[in-house]
Amino acid sequence: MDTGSPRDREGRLWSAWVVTTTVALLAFLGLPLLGLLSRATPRALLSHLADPRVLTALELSLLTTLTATAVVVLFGTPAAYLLATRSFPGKRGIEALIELPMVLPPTVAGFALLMAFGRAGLAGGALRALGISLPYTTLGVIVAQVFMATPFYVAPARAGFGGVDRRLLEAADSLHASEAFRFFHVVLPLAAPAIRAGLALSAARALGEFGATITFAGNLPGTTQTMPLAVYLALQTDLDLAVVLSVILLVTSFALLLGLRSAPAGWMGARFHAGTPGPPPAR
Amino acid sequence: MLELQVRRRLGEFVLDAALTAPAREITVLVGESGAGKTTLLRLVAGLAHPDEGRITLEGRVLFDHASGVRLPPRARAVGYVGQEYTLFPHLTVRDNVAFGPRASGLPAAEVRTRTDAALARFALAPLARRRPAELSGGQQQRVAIARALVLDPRILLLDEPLSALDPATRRSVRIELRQMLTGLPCATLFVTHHPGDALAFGDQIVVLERGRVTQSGSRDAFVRHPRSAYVAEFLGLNLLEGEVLGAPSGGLVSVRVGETRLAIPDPGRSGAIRLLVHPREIVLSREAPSGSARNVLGGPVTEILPEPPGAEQVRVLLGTHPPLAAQVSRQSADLLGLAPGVWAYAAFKAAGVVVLPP
Repeated sequence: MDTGSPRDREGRLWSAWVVTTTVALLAFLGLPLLGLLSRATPRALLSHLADPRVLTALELSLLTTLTATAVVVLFGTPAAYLLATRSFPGKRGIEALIELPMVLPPTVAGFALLMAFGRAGLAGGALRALGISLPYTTLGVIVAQVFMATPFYVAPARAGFGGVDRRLLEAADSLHASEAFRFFHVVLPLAAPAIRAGLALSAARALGEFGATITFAGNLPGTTQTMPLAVYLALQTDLDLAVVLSVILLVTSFALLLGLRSAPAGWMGARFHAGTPGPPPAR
Repeated sequence: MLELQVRRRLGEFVLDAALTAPAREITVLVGESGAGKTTLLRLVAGLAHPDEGRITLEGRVLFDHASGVRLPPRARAVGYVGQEYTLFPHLTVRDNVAFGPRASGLPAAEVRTRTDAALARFALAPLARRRPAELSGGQQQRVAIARALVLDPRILLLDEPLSALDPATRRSVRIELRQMLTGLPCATLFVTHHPGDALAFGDQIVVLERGRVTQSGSRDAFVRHPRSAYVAEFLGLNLLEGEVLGAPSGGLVSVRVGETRLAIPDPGRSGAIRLLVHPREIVLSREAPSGSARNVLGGPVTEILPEPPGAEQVRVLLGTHPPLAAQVSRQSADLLGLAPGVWAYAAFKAAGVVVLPP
């Protein structure tokens, strides 16, 4: 075997390059996390876990994130289905509008929300007439989170709906299914992995939302100061507190990500094997 | 009974077909891929609509261009089994079969009795808790047919039901499918590209070529009087392409096929023409024959093939121009001393030539 041919050298060089750059990237991404965790001494964690500032921010973050995610799912699911199944004039524009918050700087989004739903905003008068005030309220936090998180749900959900085999839809049609029945019994179950991915992504985005929230809703402890905002404030006053808040956010985000990655296969597998054992498959 | 007369354009392709499929019979729609078979089936199922025409099932109008009737699939009493069976992968066998009754909004008790009956009838009860991925191809087909029949449709549509199977299971599933389809109260419209399946299943056979029906009728008529090149090729008939020369005389015309002139019955038209000569119509001899046959071609024997079944007949291939296949008994082939390389004459009467429709 000739191991010294130019082709082999080229192969080794290629492998070395791919592996080295990947390791470097992992080190770059991992080091900040390590830095954060190295500051999180058990003593600091224990002393601050019951800190009312932590609990208040955590409670607010969970409440707003869950509400925002629910709103995103409620309104994003039909929109994703519509975009996946219909074609109509102006569809490209609507798609761009839904995807825009993904690429918009969050502070700009917050400013835009003020211009729309602020006291002097386009819809401010109408909201005031209804007795609703959004800026500097918990409701405003949810609005900012919904605005930023929507595309992270709609995009995967749309891909999931669009990926359902057309022949299965036709089979459902020929079996007398209405479109609604077909949606709940065929489309939704088969798009479930994509829906779960969208759920995890949008929930993580809502949980981590900072720029739009602080611009639109402000930074009031107990009302609009969510975990990311509390971290920012604590950085200037109490570093141990910032560490504890950050670690909680890190663990929650990581758990969301793990859920997203492992859920589809694990979920399908569990459903697949959980049934009572039947006779062995006949081939 | 299904009656349809439809026209549908798909780009350059035009499907323009009329057919009837009687209740309690299997009507096989046979043709090469791209002939428009699947399209026609989808028009009946309501998954697509014709540009023009009319489709009725047991007298009920499913589609009528003139009056604007266009029933959606769920309002048609049609059972549709697509290629690959398209079972719902996330549902068990039982839930697949129960899908139609549930989607129709039947009460839970009726859903249960209908599903149980269908599972029992197709011997699926032991598999009820399995998912499609855990089934063999033949089992999947049984589920697909049970699922389509559980709502008692007036017609069962089957799109290439055997094409998803590997050759090894094809044989056994074919027998099983034949049993499943026997005695159904509804009409069955069965699409296949395989003439063998058409003969095995069809009470009625409809040949579709390039979007048009070129032959339809009973299975016997299909075998005895093939009227399309596609069928002729499958049945092993001699298919010749030629051109009519001059005017008819005595009920016959002369046709040029390559370098050869043949006498055929007057087709009543001129120009390009396609002819069929059944191998049984050809008489072989070693010397130039002096009989009444109008058409005599000489050439070397190129191959002698036994004709299944029983192989008492042999198929003699001749290097004539054009090449011909003759079917004779093994005994007479031996008497004539036919063997590859031996010069022989093929003779057939003008009346033995079938002119294909244009």
